[in-house]
This record gives sequence, C-alpha cells and structure tokens, in this order.
Amino acid sequence: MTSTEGKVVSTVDTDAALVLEHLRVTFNVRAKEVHAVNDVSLRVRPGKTLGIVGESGSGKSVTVRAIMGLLGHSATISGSVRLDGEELVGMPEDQLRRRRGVKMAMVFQDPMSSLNPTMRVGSQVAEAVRHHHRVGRKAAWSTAIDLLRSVRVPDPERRASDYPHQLSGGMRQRVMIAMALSARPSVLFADEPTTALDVTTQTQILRLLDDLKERYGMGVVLITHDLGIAARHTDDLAVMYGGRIVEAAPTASLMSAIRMPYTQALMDAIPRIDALSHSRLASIEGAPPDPSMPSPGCAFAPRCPRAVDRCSTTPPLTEGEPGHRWACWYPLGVQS
Amino acid sequence: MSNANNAADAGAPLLELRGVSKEFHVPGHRVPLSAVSDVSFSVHEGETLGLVGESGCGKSTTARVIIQAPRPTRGEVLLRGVNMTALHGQSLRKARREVQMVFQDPYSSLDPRWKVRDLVAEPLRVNHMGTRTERAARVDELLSVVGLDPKQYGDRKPGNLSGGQAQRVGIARALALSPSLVICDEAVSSLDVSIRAQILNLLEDLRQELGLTYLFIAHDLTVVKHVSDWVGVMYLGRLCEHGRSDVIYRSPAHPYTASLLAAVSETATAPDRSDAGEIPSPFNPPSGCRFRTRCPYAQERCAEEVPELRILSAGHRVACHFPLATS
Repeated sequence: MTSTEGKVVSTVDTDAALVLEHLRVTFNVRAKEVHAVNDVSLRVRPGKTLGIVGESGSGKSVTVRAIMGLLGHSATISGSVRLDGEELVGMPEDQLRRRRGVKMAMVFQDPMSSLNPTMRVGSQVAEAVRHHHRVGRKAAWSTAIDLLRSVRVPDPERRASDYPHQLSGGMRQRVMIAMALSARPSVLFADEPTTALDVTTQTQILRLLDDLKERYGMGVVLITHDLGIAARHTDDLAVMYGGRIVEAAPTASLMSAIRMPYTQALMDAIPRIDALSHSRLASIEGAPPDPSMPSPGCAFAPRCPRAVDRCSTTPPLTEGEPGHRWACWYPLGVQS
Repeated sequence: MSNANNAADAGAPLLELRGVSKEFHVPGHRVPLSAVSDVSFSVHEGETLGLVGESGCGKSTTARVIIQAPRPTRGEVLLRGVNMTALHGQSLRKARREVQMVFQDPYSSLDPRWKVRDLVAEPLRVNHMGTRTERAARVDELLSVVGLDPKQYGDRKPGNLSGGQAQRVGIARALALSPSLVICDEAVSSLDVSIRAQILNLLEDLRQELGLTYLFIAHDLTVVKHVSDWVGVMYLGRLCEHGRSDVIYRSPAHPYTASLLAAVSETATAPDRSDAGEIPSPFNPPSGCRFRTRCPYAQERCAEEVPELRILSAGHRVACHFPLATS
C-alpha cells in the first residue's frame, strides 16, 4: 500500500518507545470493508505524553486497541508498530501476549468494569505483580502496597483490604494505574481515563500520570476527546478525524499555531470558564463522519467553513513546518 | 431559611424549594441515606439556575424530587406558588406537564423500536392533546424547532441517529407539552465536543424563543458558566453556595466551590488535594459542616455546628462558618 504521506517518520528511531508507521485498521462488517484507521504514523517518546485527540469515530481508540492487540479477528492490521525497536505487526499471538501487559499496559475509562468486584484491591494488584515477577505472596503484597503508595492512594496498607465498591471512582482508577505499573511498562495507554470522574478527581489523575511518566521514564498515550485537557497534560499532540491524523506536532508548537481548521473548531467549541452567561459557543455544524460511509476527499470538508472544490481530493499529511504536520490544502495562518 | 432568597429577585418565582430533604431507606443499612438535606432555592421565570457538584451530591435527586418522583421526605416544592407536594392524581399530573426533563443519555431514554415521530408524539398522546392530525402537525413543528427536518428524520429509529440528533429528539419530547420549566440533567455530558456546542446553542435559542426557564444540572462548571444566570453548588446533599453566576465564578465564598473552580481552571497554585480523602458516606455524613473532612480551613466549630445558608451579599448565599474573602 502506498503512503499518502509527504514525509515519513525516520525509520531508525532510537529515541522512541513506540513507533507507528502507516498503521491501517480495516474491519469486515457484513462483507463490507470499513477503514477505521488510515495511514497513521506516530511516535511515543520515553518519559513523555502523546495525546491523541478526536471525537467519536475518529479512530483514536481503535488505533490504541490495534497496538494492544485487542481487536480480535474481524480486524485487519497493516503497517508497522515497533515497541522498543521490536515489530509487533505480524508477531505470533503467543509472543505478542508476552509483550502485552508487560511492555505496554492500558487504563480504561471505567475502572469498575476492569476490576474484580469480589477481590480485595490489594490482592488484585499483588496478583498482577506475581503475574510479572517471580516473587512470593508476601513480597507481592508489599510490592502492591508500594505501588498503591506510588499512585498516591492514601493509607495504602488499610486501603489494600478494601473491595472495589468501597472506593471512589478516582481511587479505583489509581488502583488500575497501580496494576498497569506492576510490570514497569515502556508505554502506558490511558483511554479517556478521567471522563467518568469528577472534576477535582480528573485533575489529580492527570497530574499523577504526569508525575509517573517522569519517575518511570515511561511513554504515556493519553486518548481524549477534550483538547483542553490534552493541551495541558501532553508533550506531543495528534488530532484525528475520520480515521486519519489531520494535525500533529509537539503540543506547545501546535497550540501556538493551529493549522488545521478542524483543530481550531474543536478549540473554539470548548466552553470557557470566563465566558459570559448566555454567550454562544462556536459550534461545528453537522456530525463527525461515519467510518462505514466514507466520502472522498478531506473528511472534514463537509463541515469546514473554508472548504473549496479542491478539498474533494484528500490532502496529504505533510510536514509544513519542522515537527508540525497537517493535512489541509488551505491551512490557517499560512500563505498558499 | 425558606425565604432566604435575596432581595434582588422581583416577583414570585416560577419554582421554589423550601427546606427540601430526601432520605432513602436502603436494605442492609439501619440509618437512611440522606440524599438531599434541607435545600432551599428559587428560580424565576426566564432564568437559568445551574446546579453543580460531584457525583453523589444530590443534584439529580433534587431534580427528581421537584417532579415528585419520588416525593421529598420533608419540605415543599412550589411551582408558580402551588405546593406540588400537596397535589395528587389528576392535579399532580397536570402540574407535572409544566416541568419536563432532558436526560444525559439520549439513547437510553428513547425506545429503540419507535420512530422519531411517535417518540415525540407520545407525551401528546398520553395527555390526550389534540386530534391525531393536530398531533402530527405539532410533531413536525417540534422537530423543526430542534433543528431536525421532519421529512428526513421523522421515520427514523433512535439507532439510526447520531448522539446529537438523539438528544434533539429528547429535547423535542420535553418541549411537546409546552413546559415552563425544563430540567436538563447532564443533558450535554455524553456528547462529543462539537455536538455539545450545537446542543448548548440550541438550548439557549429555545430559552429565548419560548421563554423557557432552566434548571441546568451538570458536573462541568465551564458548561454551566455558559448557560446560567444563577449557580447552586451542592455537596453531600446540601446546598453550600448559591448566587449570581458571575459573582460565584469571580469570587467563590465556600471552600468547596473554590476547589471545584481551581480544578477547572487548573491554576498553578491550586493545591493537589488527592490526600484530602474521599467524599464521606451519605449514610453517615460528618457532623456540622459536611465538607469539613476535606476542607483545608476547617476548625473546631465546623464539626459542632451546621452552617446555615446565610446571605453574604445581595444575590449571594453561603453555608460556611468561615467564608473566603470575597471581592
């Protein structure tokens, strides 16, 4: 399959924990091919957070599930996924299983559905520890307490004896993160980890992830629909729309010079704390595209106020400025 | 406390809650769960009150108690001065038409087997409003009002609608009986960012065009800022601060409100209160001020004495013994 990308991420990449190149994910739905992820190239640096931002159907969660090998047999994955230099696409299932949960781990939106309700949380963390390390029960328990302490569960010795339902959503999410950390992964995926949490707890969990990535030198991939959260808690940013990356750059440079009209529209649609009562929000008319019904050209064109005839041809994702890629024929703030 | 609303309000309120409490008896617990405790506030016609707080603070129970489903354990709910808590049967059903709700998950509140047209017609049919032809015309009108072309969407089923379209149907249903008060319970919380903006703008347009009054319940303070004239902050079943939204957002007086705002604005100085413990159990709320176990400013008095909601300035009430300095 040929690439539509102008410039490809360097093939020799020693400075990355995870490198995706031309990742494609196709589902077979009722004898029809649905391209959920199209030609995604990204890299995750150790000790840094990559934010993948997008709305429903943008392909952000499918991308991560493809990397984790959670999609099952209906999905066809092509391209390259290299974790610590090792190619995962095409790797036999038994070998892949050894990497999953060890070199990469995942935290989901709803911690309650990922925890065993009949087991004390300390035992669940200890079980994860014993799964990855040859240690006895007692050592595993004390490691579990240490892990709970490192994710700032207050009074971890006592909390370890609690069952999941006795903990708040934020504490459960900390337990999930402790379990994910038990194997010392190179990359931690967090899929909307704070969406189900209250505002005060959201900030705590995001700050915890900020702190852990530095302490463990671990790459973090934060998947979120909230560009505001991504702007504050990531080092690199990729915006997805209709299964493609439409803009990507280091967070600071992207936020200071947004090029893709969709990214700008997402930014404008976020309610502001300093807004006046009854002020209108800049909304994006229409709805995100349905991946099962792709239209030719730029996927955002039907909703884009700047769209012209040329947008019926898919714009390639090109590096318009050093480190800043965008897929738009008429980027904002750039003379054509 | 029941008439503690401020002097800035003119005329009789559309909705008034006087000392409303709701307790639930939960199997396996000797003491009842105190979901809402002694809540009083009022909402005037054409205005929007945003009710905020974390999950379990009692904001959704407050909404349900207003429509008397379930009825409050104590206190009164007045709609245009009429005590809803004293109404039964036909008169209660009639009063309830004036208050309609829009829920968080549009799909789960719409029967997936029904067509959009029939879903919007249902409240009209149940309440015997108009003839079949009149109802059909009203449904077309309602769909147009919420921005859905009746020809294009009328015969679809919820499964063939996007999240935003489904929420528009939910709003059309809520408007069918021409209510005065619409309670939006986390109505935009599960929508995509671009769709959320559309629905918030739609609600704002409807307020102006139809003269609606909203009780807007949300955990997201930034969303509430956009829609509200007044804001009420709840914690563990109690109203801890209430006032003009510009005043509350500019200078919150309750430490809990301040912590919520700090979390949203994420100022560098905002303390990380992850070690401040959990929200206490509503079966056994702390004595005195319910927020004291997580409050950085708590003193002895806070454990001994329940702080009453008192007037701090015109249009600003707070339930705190040691309110933060306001500008």
